[in-house]
Parts: sequence; structure tokens; C-alpha cells
Amino acid sequence: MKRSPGGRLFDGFNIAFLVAAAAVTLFPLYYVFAVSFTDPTEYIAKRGFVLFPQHWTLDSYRYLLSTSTFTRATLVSVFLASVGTALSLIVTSALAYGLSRKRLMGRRAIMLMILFTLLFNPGLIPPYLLVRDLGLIDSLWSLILPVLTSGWYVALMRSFFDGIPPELEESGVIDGSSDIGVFFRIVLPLSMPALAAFGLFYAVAYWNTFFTAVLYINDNAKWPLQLVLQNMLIDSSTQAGGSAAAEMMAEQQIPPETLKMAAVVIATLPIVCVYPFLQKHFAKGVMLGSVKG
Amino acid sequence: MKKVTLRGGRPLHAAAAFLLCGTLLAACSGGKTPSSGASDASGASGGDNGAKPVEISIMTEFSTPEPPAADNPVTKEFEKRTGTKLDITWVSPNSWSDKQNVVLASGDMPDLMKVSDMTNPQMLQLVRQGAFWDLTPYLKDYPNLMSYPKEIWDKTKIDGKNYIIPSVRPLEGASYFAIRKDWLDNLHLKMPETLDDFYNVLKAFTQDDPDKDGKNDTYGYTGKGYNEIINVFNESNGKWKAVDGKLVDTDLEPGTRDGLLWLRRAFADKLMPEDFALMKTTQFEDMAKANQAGVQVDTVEGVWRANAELLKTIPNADFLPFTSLTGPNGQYVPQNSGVTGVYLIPKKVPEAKMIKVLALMDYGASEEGFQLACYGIEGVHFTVVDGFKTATEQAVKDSVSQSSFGKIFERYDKYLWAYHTGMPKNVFERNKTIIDARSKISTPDPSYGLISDTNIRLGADYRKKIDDMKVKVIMGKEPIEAWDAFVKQLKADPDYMKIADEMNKAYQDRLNGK
Repeated sequence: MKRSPGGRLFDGFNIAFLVAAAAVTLFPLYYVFAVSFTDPTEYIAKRGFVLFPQHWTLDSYRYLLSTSTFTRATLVSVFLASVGTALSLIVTSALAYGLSRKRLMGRRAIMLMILFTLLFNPGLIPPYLLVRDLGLIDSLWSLILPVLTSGWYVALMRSFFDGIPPELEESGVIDGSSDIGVFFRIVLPLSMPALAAFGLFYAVAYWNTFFTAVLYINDNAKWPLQLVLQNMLIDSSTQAGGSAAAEMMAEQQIPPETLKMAAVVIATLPIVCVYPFLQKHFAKGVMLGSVKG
Repeated sequence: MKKVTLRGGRPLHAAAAFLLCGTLLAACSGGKTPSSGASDASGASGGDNGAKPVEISIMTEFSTPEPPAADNPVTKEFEKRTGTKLDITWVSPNSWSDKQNVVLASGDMPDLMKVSDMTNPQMLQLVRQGAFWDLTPYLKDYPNLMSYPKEIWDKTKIDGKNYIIPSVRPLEGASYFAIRKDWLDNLHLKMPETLDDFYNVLKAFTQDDPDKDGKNDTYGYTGKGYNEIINVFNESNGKWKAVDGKLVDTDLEPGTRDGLLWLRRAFADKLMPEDFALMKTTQFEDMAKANQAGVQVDTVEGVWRANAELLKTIPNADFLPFTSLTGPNGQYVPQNSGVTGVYLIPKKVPEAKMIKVLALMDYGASEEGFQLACYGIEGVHFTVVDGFKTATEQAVKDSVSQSSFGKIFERYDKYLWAYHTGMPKNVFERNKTIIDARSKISTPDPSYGLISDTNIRLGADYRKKIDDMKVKVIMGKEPIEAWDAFVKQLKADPDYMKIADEMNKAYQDRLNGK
């Protein structure tokens, strides 16, 4: 189709704008990346303004991967992201599927209870007491069980399952399948886009586990990556005017900036790698439920 | 529930390392018999006589790159010498306030709990409800703890009682200006004494190429801690100044105005970087490390970090900490609070165990215990050359430092902030003289630990507004008249003036020994 001059002008602006927006978004990532490969002395000499390092070095990465803390924390995060995501998907989809079937008794009441959790936040202390009384303090399960499912995702997934025609189920039942069989053999295979999308959401959330670990995990051998990272990226406020902050900084042993950036790259990389492969399911997976027909 | 093992083949490895450490430990204590004898004498009984070790849980912070692991050899050594079994929860200072508040609120406190700030409202409320031991009657039995300066014990009293074991730090050696002595020599300048001298030196450092590289690439001053200049004008350590037995808010005094004018001129003359207000602590330090600034602000020992970096390329680089600067009314150098957090023992800990905890802390405050905390085990974590302790690689690996174990076990050592790892002996000796000289003239902060409820509620907002206005005036974005108007507005603000009243009341109570 031939475009009018006005249309072409619009396209031109559009492309220029989007390229600029992309550049602005990508620049911080690139900067972190570049600094992570820079020699610490060069970084200091240039006062942190490194766009193209003169001497590329892998030292920061070599050091990080050699420390037991960092590798251990990465393993903890991998565990959380894999086991947590798998469990969350099972629980969320099973719950959402059940709620989407009209023959479930009291389904409105259950749904209301779930929505209730979206509106009211218990705060910090009650969950802490709960986790403590369950004996989960210092257990990795404390980072998984309390956040196993989210009311919001259950609601979204339920409307996705609403779109699966009951006839499919019936055919399964006629062929002699149980409810569980129908769920695993018919419904879940049909829901791959949704599972992929929500799986990514959960994986990112588990990978970013941070605050709950601050509260529930005392044993530093079980700290997830983000907590170790935060500890490395330590930097008190911009102006250490108050003496307390200044004193704290004075006693701080600050790792070089290049090391911090390398840590950021390692912590971001898995998500950046997974993202493009799952991204295509996004629009399909999340929106399918909302558009009927 | 199935226990998750994440480390795969690691346990064997760890076990091997542990065994090795054990051997080293054994070898070490074998060579140092007198020390184990001393530990028994220091009140921590039950170490070697086969009694069951007392389990003590501790929550504290660390600021080493990594927290010490549970099987750390230094922890083991402390346990051995004091007959205890320590369960230490290390929390990063970044997450400290969240963790601390949850733990305080849930009542789920360890046997020894650190609170970062003496004015923490939650802690104060708990103290007044009787949730912590009043240690006043017990402390006299612990000579090492009692060797902390009396002024520090006095200012950590709550309602006249010692609920708190202060996490003690030196009084002298506070963050203050340090100047490039080699630059002064290059330009044939004298060490500045007054604020006018200081200004002229900064100007020369900026304009006269002090590093002799033919380029105009230096700043006089990094801009860190600009409030110190204002403090010199006010001769007050921070916001509150004691005048005739009353606390005066220096932000409303003419000294602050004069300080702002000085800084405003310095900024206009480009003696400090244009983005000083936005720079992070590490960036200030990087400027100093990169040979770009003549004056930085840090503790006497903290200055050495930049100096060590400079020495790699400039053999005669020398950051010299100031002893004092002379303002319009006299010499001024700040004194530290001497406290970086406080320790409390919850009342639910039985009395016998509480005494054990005190004994442990007392051991940590002994010469020997403190040395173990800060430097680790001789031969493993440090070696002594020429009477000077040098840390080994293993010390870094085991996170043995003033910033980890040294945060729990503390002895009052007035020269603690004279020494920094890697510092040559002559610099250390010079720092000691600076600290001695400062101790004769330094100004304490009279408001430390005083509580005003209004300040807890609104103080942070006012602080922010005041700082914003200061920065705007320094950067020339607002005229000095805007500051005058702002001060007038504060004086007319009943809430703001209430803070001063409440602070004064608390101050009077302390003076009257209540």
C-alpha cells in the first residue's frame, strides 16, 4: 500500500522517537555492561564515565565467580526460580481451573476470599509471626510458600480458563478421564501460552526475591542473589552530612564499582536471556482470557 | 519436609576446610598458653572445665563485603575462650532498619540485640515497658566494659539507667577535612589555619595546577560534608549547640548564614564540583583517588583509602587530616558520639544467662578479646612485623574485621581510628598525634540521644527542607535573602519551635541526672 506524504512523515517521526526511546532504555544496561569489563583503576581515573573501556578485562567476573558466597547465592536463586515457579504454576492453574468450572460449589465465596487478599494488605508483622510459628524461619520454603500464588494471577487465569469450551472436557470425561486427567491432559496443554506468560511472571518474582529474605532468612548461607547483591551495591545517601552515616561509611569496605556492575550483569543475565523466548506468548497468554469469541 | 541441599558436593569440601582450620587453631592456641589462662581469669568461667557451653543468640550488623560464615574460626575461638555457643545473625546495614523493626515488634528477640539508633521510638517504648534488663546494678562487675569513658555510659542512659551497652567507638578521629600536603608543598603554601587561609588554598588548588601536570583538572574540595564548614562558623558539632546550659538550634543562627555565604562563594569560584549535591559517597572518594581534589572529608583513618590508591601513581601523595580549623570564634574540630549503635538484653533472658552475656561482652572488651575480634588469630589472620599487625588473605576470606566481629566485641581504643590496613608506621604515628591534639579541643554533640517526640514525627521533613534550601543557596539558585526568609518562617512555625523546646527539656533532664 502506498503511503501518503503525511503518513510517511508520521512514520519517520515514529521511528525516530522509538529509536530514541530504545536508546535511552538501553543505555543504562550498556553502561553497566561496559563498566563491568573495565579495569578498576581506569574507572577511577575516568571518574566513572566509561563508555568504551580501553582495557577490557574479565577480572571482575573471575573474582565474583570464585567467591563461594556469590555462587551459593546464585544457586539459591536458581532453586527459588525453578522450584518456586513450578509449584506456583501448579497451584495457580489448579485453583483457577477449579474456580472457572460452574459446577464448583461456593465458587463465588472462594473467589471473594481471593479478591479480598488483593485489597487488604496485612503489613509486615503478621506474616512474620505466621512464618515464625510455622517454623519456617531460616528455611528456603519461607520464600516460596507465603507467595505461592497471587490473587491477581488466579483471577486472570480463571478468565483464561473460562474461554476453554466445556465440550472439550465432556469429550474427555466420555473417554473415561477423571477430573485430574482432564486438567493435566486436556486443559493444561491447551493453556501453554498462559502458563508461559505466568511462568515468566513468577520466575522473575522469585528471581528478585529480596525483602522476604531480609526478614525470614538469618543464615547467610541461604541468602538469595538479590540480597547478596544489595549488600555489595551498598552506598549510603548522597550527602553524608549526618555523622552517623559518615561513620558507617568510614568503616565500610566498599567493593570497587566494576565488581558491583559485574554482579549486576550476572544477576540480570538469566532473565534477559529467558525473556525473548517467552515474550511472544505474552500478549496471547495474558490477554486471551479477556477477549472472548 | 525434605531438607534441600543446594551445595551439591560442597559439604565434604567445607568439612575439609573446617578440619584444617581446627588444626590451625589447635596449633595456634598451643603456642599461646598464657592467653587461654587469661581468658579464664577474665570472668568467663566454664571455658575448659567441661561444663556445657551456654547458647547465646546475637543479632548484629556487618559491613564487610561478606558476612562471616557460621563456622568461622574466629567465632569458634570466641566460643572456646568464653565457654559459649554463639548463634550470630548477621544483617546487612542496608536492610537493618526493616529487620530490626520486625524483630522488635514481633518480640522474637535474640539474647543480645543490636539497635542502630538510640532514639529508635520502638526500642524506647519497649525499654519503658520493661522489656529489657536494667544493667545498672550488674555493670560494676565488668571492668573491661566499665573502662569505656564515663561520658559514653552517661549519654546512653535512658531515664537515668543503663539499659544499653553502647557499641563503642573512639571519640576522636571523626570525619573532618584532610588536605593534600604534597600539593601544599608544590605550591609553597602553608597549612591553612583560618577559614580565609583555607579558602585561598582551595582557590590555589583549583587554579594553580597543584599537581604540576600542566592541565586545569583539579578541584580544591570534593564538596563532601559541606556542613562541616557551617559547623566551623557556628563552632557546633551539628545542629544543636549548648550555650549557657541551653540548646540552641544553629540552623537559625547567623553562623549558618555566614557558612552558606562562604560555600556560595566557593561554588561560584568552582572550588568544588558542580554536581556535589548529587554525588554519592563513593564518587567523592573516587575524586580524591583520581588525584582530582585537594581536600576531602573522612575519618582520620578513612582518608588512607584514597591515599593508598594515589600512592600507586604518585609516590609522594599525602592526605593530611586537619587537627582543627579556626572560625570566627576559635578553633573547631568535631568529636564523635563514641557510639555506633546500642546492645540490649531482653528481659525474657534468665538472669544467669544475662550475666553470661555480660561476661561475653566484657571479654570482647578486653585487650585480648578485642584483638581476636578485629584481627583474628595470629599466624592465620595476621602476622606481626615490627610491632605492627598485618592482615593476611585469610582474614579477608574469613571477614575478620572491625566491620564484622568488631561490631559486637568492642574495647574503647582511642587510636582505633588512627590505623588502617596497609598504613605505614610513620603515618600511624602522625595520626596518633593528630588524635591527641584533637582530643584537647574537640567539640561534642550535646544533643546525642536526646529525644523530642515532635522531632521523631516531623524532624525528617524539616531536615529535608532545610538541606534543600541550603543547597539551593550554595549553588546560587536562591539568593541569601531566601535563606533569611526561610529562617524567619521556621521561627514562626510552632511545630518547629516545639522541637527546640522538647530538646531543651530533655537536655535539662539529663543535666539534672534524671
